[in-house]
Amino acid sequence: MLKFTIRRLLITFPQLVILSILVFFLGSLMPGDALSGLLDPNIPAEAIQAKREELGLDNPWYIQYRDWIFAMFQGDFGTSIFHQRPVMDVIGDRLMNTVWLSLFSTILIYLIGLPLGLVSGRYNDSLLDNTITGYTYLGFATPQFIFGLVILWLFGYNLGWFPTGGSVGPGLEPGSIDYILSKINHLVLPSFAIALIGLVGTVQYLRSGIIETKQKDFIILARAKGVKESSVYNRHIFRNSILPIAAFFGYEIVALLGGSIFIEMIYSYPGMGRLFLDSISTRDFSVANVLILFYGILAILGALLSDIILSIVDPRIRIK
Amino acid sequence: MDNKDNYNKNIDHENEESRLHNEQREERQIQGDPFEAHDKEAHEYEKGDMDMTVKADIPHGASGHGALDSKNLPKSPPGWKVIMKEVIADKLALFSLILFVIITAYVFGLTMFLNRQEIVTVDLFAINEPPNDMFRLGTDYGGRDIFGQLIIGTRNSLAIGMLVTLMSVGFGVVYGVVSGYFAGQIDNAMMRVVDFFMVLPFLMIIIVFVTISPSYDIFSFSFIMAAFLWTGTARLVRSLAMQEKELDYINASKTLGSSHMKVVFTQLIPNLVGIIIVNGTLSLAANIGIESGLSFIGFGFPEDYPSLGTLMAYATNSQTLQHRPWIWVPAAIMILVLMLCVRNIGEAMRRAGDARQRKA
Amino acid sequence: MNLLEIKDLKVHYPIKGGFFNTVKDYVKAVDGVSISIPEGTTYGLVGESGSGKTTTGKAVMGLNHVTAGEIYFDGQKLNEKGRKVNVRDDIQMIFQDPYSSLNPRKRVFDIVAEPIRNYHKKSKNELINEVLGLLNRVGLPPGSLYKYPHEFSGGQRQRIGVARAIALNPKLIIADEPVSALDVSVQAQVLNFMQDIQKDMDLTMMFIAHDLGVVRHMCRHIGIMYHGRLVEEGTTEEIFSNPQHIYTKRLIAAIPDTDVDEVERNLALRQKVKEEYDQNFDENLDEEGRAFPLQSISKTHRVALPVKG
Repeated sequence: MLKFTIRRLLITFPQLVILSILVFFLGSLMPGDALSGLLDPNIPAEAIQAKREELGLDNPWYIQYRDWIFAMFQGDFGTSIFHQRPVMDVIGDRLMNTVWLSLFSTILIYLIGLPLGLVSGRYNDSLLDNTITGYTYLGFATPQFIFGLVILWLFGYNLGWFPTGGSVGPGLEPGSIDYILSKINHLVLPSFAIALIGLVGTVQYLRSGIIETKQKDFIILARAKGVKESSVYNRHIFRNSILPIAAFFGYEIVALLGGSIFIEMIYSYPGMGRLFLDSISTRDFSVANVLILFYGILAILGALLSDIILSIVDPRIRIK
Repeated sequence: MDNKDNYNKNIDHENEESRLHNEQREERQIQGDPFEAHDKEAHEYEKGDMDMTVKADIPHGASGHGALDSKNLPKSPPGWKVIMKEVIADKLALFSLILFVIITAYVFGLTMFLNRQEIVTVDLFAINEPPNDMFRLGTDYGGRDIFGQLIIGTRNSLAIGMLVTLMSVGFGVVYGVVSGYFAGQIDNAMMRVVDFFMVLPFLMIIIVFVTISPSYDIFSFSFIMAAFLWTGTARLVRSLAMQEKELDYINASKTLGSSHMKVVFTQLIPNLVGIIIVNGTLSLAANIGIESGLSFIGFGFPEDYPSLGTLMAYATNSQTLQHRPWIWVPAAIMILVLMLCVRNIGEAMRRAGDARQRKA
Repeated sequence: MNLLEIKDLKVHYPIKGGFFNTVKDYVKAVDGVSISIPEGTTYGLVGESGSGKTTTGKAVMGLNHVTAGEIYFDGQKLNEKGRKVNVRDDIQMIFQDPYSSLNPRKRVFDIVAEPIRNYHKKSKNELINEVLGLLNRVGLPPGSLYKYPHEFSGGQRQRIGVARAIALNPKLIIADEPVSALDVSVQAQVLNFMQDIQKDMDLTMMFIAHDLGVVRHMCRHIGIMYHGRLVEEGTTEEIFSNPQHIYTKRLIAAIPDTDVDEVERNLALRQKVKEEYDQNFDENLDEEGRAFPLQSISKTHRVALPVKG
């Protein structure tokens, strides 16, 4: 177990290095560098050149790469040209919003998805199961952004039950009860939009897991021994089918973080996905670059987490 | 959406793989009962010029000592014929197929007569008109005909989706087959690359590429998308190739002097065709979704080259979303219809691989 | 003149494990096997599954790497250390499983023509004629040419496999349990017809089987393998009339006899051999559970008995 974890970590490290190199090159492909936003055009060319040398912008790429990595380890992620603030501060403003959104969506996915999958698997081929399966079928075919728009149109505009944009109402004191309630109120639509589409995978996976486990010999044995039907499902089958889903937790979190780009855009929700789109359209590439790195690292860590959970759950997965 | 999609694909492939196992079992049983076929053959032989020894070859019970256990008979993935039979037998899939073909033929045919320039030219006298006699589906904020844009957009989305699918599946198949066939260290290295691609935030990287590349056309745009979307196919094909290459016909081909290239392309790949078609169909649905999503957030083609996502993007304006549904609803319905059709066809094809679920 | 000489062949597979995936141990699939097959004869290699007989055959075919040892064909050395044998046209193989050894997507014509295409440039018509000739030779009607493998029965499929193997006029054929996957009623037919072909073409054959009865029918020499090594080797006559190794004795005692009058006697014999086997089997193996090196007890008969004293 420990061996697997360590070996899996050893794979993670080169992934991180390659990711950082990739992001670095992506950054150097982007127009503009650290100076283009800082200097005004009246400064003479020699001064710019001197400044360039001081910042090491003419160094070979590996030196620049090394400096870039070192700077990041010291917490210096560069400066946003558009906001004229350190990138980290700009991202920090948005970080918690995305974390809240993801957290809400995750809870909803499991809160709705698990019962649906359970019912669908237990009573498979019943009317209820067919309805749920039909829903997952539609859900798989519906792009998230269309669903988000329809939800917004219906509940935000037509029925007016929930706010249609932003993350909190105006003029509220941070920390007050009203502020928190307003935040939650703003989260409802986007998180449902994410969760209702996002849960189809979980439902389908759980359903097929349960149907498969139902036919296993140990379940037949449990029945033969006279275990109560409810207990057969709740204790034996559910526990066995839930494990792989638990293992996908890491991927799920990462997927949610990354998947919020569309939803954050539709709901003008000030999170990181929205920030990424904004920084691309304002050509604020230093922010975009750090965000890509950030999401990439998250995905690597999420895959790592999932693989480790999976290896605990299913010993067959452990690499030899 | 980016990682979400990866995740869904993961699940898809898990399912696909487990289904394949089932399918193997089933196929074995099916092919393991060759009695009927052979009885028929025997009669033919008796009439024909067959020598008598072969007639006696008819197995009259596979239970004999040393006989091949019917469960261990080798399988072969479903061929094109089986797949099409299944699609035709499944009423929903057949309907989807017909609808899809009609839509495709319609939009590709009609766009040959529509004047794109005329449609995308701004007409300030006809801004945001609801559907009327002149504009069947109304106009957008630039006075452009929605119906025309919908037709052109559908064609563009379909064309890009198909191109991306061709490129990504094509590359993924070759990559996966090579990795699975050669196995060992080569496979190890190649799979590390796939693992890496799978954790890349590809949507963001595509957005950056689209932003910084000075100009792009349908091919380079599809290429950028395909560059990040081949990994699922590669993983699936690899695992299949690994199973398939253990079968003796691959060994036989090697001992008969065929080169690795020849074994891979003339022996191995033809036996994976069914799965590749299924995988390609399901990726087509996903790719249409991804493309329209990219256009939706403004990183697809420019407005004068509309895709279905471009029309959807108008709905990010709250006025349009609330009061001018004629602009975005048709595009939304079109995307849903296309994706459902393609998925229905793909799912039916996949069922063809699982004899237990077959309807035909 | 020996057509095939295998000298001290070893095929080992590493078992990897531990933290750095280092090689911990080896699975010794074949561990020091020497076989010579005189031209024009059939050599039967017998053993239980996992005894390394198929691995030996595949090593000669170039389907396995060779860890150590030498393989000579017609006086020519075939292998370099640690590498696979290069595939050649005068050694061919017939596979065990007639179902998986034929590509289900290919027509009989393409299957049989594949080796010819690989080694000779021929026009389509020449190819068709040649394939028809081969089909005729293995007793399949010309109508089979454009059929697919699934349209044939097991015995017919194996005939296709034979046609493919003899297409290049090989000198040596390695037949890897060619009938064990077939129905009993068909086995004898296929065996007889293989013998005919062997006579016609003056083939040398290595016949791998787990069924001593089949081997007796087919082979002039027999080698019996156990856990990667030969335990006894000799002419068919010697092995059956004068088995020396307890493993061989038990194998021979286990052959069913159809003579009803002999039932009692056979049963008693079998019991006796079993007792001896149970008591002495370990003594017939070295401390690793492997057979001892072979010792000659006659000109052609060699047995792996423990060194006395």
